[in-house]
Amino acid sequence: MTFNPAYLRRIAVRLALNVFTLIVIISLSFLIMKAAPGKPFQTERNPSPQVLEELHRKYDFTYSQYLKGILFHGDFRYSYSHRSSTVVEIIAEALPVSLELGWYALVIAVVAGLAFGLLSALYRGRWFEGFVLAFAMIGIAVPNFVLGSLLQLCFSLQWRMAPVAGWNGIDSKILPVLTLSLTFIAYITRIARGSFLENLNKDYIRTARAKGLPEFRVLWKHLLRNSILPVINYLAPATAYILTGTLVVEKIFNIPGMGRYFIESVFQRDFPLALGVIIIYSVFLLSLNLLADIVLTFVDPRIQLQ
Amino acid sequence: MNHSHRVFLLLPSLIFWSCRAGAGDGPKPLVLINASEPASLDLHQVTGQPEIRVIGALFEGLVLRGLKSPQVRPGAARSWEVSADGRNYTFHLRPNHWSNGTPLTSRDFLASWRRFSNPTTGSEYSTLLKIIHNANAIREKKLPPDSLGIAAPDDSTFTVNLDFPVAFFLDLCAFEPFFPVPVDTIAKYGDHWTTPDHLVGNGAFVMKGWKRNVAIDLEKNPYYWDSANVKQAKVKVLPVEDQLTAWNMFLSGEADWIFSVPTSKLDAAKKMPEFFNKPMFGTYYYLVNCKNPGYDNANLRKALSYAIDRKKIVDRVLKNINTPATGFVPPTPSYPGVSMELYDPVKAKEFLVKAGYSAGKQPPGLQILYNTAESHRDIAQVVQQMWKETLGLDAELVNYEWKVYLENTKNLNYRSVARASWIGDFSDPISFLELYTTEDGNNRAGYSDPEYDKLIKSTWTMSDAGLRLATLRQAEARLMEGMPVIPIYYYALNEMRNPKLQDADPNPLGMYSWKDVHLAQ
Repeated sequence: MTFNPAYLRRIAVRLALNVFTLIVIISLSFLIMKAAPGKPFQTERNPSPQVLEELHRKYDFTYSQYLKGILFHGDFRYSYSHRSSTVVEIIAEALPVSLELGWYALVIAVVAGLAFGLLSALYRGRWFEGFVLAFAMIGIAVPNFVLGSLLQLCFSLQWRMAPVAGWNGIDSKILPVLTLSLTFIAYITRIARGSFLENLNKDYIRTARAKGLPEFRVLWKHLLRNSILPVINYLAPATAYILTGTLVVEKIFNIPGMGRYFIESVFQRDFPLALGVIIIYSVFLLSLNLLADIVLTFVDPRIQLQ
Repeated sequence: MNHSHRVFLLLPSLIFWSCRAGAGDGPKPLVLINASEPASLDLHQVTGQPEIRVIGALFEGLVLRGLKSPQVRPGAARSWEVSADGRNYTFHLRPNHWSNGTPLTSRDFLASWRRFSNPTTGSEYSTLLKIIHNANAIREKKLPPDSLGIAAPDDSTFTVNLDFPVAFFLDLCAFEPFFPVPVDTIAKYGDHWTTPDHLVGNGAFVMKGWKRNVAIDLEKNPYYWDSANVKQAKVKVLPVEDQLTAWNMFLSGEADWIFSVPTSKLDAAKKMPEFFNKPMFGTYYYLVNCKNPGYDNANLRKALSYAIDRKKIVDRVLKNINTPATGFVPPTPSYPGVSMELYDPVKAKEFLVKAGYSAGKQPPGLQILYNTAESHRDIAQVVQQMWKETLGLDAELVNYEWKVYLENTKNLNYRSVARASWIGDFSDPISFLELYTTEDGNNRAGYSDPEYDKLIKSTWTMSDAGLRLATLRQAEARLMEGMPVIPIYYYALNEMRNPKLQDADPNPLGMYSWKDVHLAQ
């Protein structure tokens, strides 16, 4: 794999397509939000018509104003429900927290998933494999909110080892990261195990062993490199799930991340905030998909970037 | 358990303990859990409890809510006089300072109340100003805000000219939107004046930090006029929306005070000494759309109301922490209300016959609309069953999400019955009874009774307090005759409190006197 001009051109085309997709997403979201029933400034205490008129004058915007604002000035406007703050300020505070949470969870999921997958493939038929498979099944079956509450009950309320909630200091981060990563550890374990098992029986592994290579080198150089493709393939959607899936974990552990705005902004009809969140998530998903495809071409030169 | 298992358990413990070592220094703050992150701390932009709670600690009005009694106490004003006709108030301010050390004078109140009345500020509470001379014309943009009936003849005198004698005017002055705002700071920083770097207040506390969705840190304000009597040095306000998380934080000692208890934990909470329960000035009720055919008949509305066994709802759904409604206005010591027995199956059947309906002839489109929430659904299901058992009527349950529900009820776009609630803005029955006058913007029942309107209107100009309350009671009785609203139960405060928490008695609106609240050392 080299960065030849044709390859770079393909990346440029993919980028252009991504920008087009993003504009389509923004336009559709804008349309849907405007069409949705329920008014943003309607509250339990009916505002007077003059106040309502003032709020609309200050906060309303049209589709072209919005697009121009974000494209030329990076202006995502003021939030309707947090009226003293701009959408950019809100997202700038929340996004790093969600990214940190998601990143820790992803790293743990990949490392632990690959390790469990490899060990269970190597110790096939032994008790360890049964243990790992049972763990993977539980990890997939137990929802976040059950696991999170269970961890809180044990580690926070019974043994007083970690705070119930918050995101200050490492002690408050362990339980939410574990909660978020468990499902992904389980998935990656299963995917990696399958891939490792398939490759372990291949001729090239037998050849590598037959020519006397140390076992570590066989596993690291030959087996891992050839078995990791399905895991990388899974990582792009997994990252997306982790980013959007922080909602429940953020709620249980009261983490100041993006998750809460994902739902709240829609329920509150806070159009600018909802659009801001949609744009951020879309940019992430589109970029991650592209990145995963690029990484695949590095790992397996037979794969072409389309 | 074999050795390897023990190591497996021990390892995370070691990590946790090593992380937690060295946490905490300085005086212990009072940690309270606010239901949600304040949308803003601009007192002219907010209406919610979580916002008003924090604003109450940062700012102070002319008068303060009473600590032990319902009567207001001197605040920024050390004394006041009322004219003989009850229409003119003169407040004498004590020497006050903003939290940056600059003097706070009556001109600050003048500028703040003008900002409050100005329609361009967009304050949803600005309708409360309507009792002040010219406020309505200002709201309708017929007059400029500086024509509001207030004046500051000198730095320490502030006068208010009301259109009629208002019995609860001082209660209003203790309500947060009537507190002063630092207009110079607002002019300088615009919408960002409420950030910790810029916010200037005159309350018992100052804001030391505000990290969105993490915490608001408050510290005693050294410039506060009564700072010598503020016993709590630090307060930490945590926004936790999940009730169960808040409950767990209280149990683990991470929070000293939570303002709600999850329904699933109420039975356990009630047995704990930390549980605090007090009636509140709020009513949970059903609206009837009086504009729709069938439901424009008071007999049908009364049949529906008399068929609801409120005691059973409170007992079975609400775990007995609320009080069954006996009228629309929650009773207070000064206003006992109409105190009626609203459940009477015999009467219910009679009214249904009078309305011309029966199990065989159902009223058109009987349904209960509620905003999506488990508690509303549970109550609606019980009511549905009661109507079936007592009256033989089949009601359909419909739920909408919050904003859609608001829009539909506001536009009377619901077929028959909708769930609603109201918490008084000040502890006077008028804050409830005014809602169902014909012209009121919050009349979501489409109810119109000229006689009722006349009674309510007459109370605005009454200077005899006893006569006024008697007239309000008469109006409430009339409202219960028309029954555009079907009261179900009265709200209550359900809190968990650190036993060391002192001077934290709420007024009936669920508001606290922040300068007094403290944790005993």
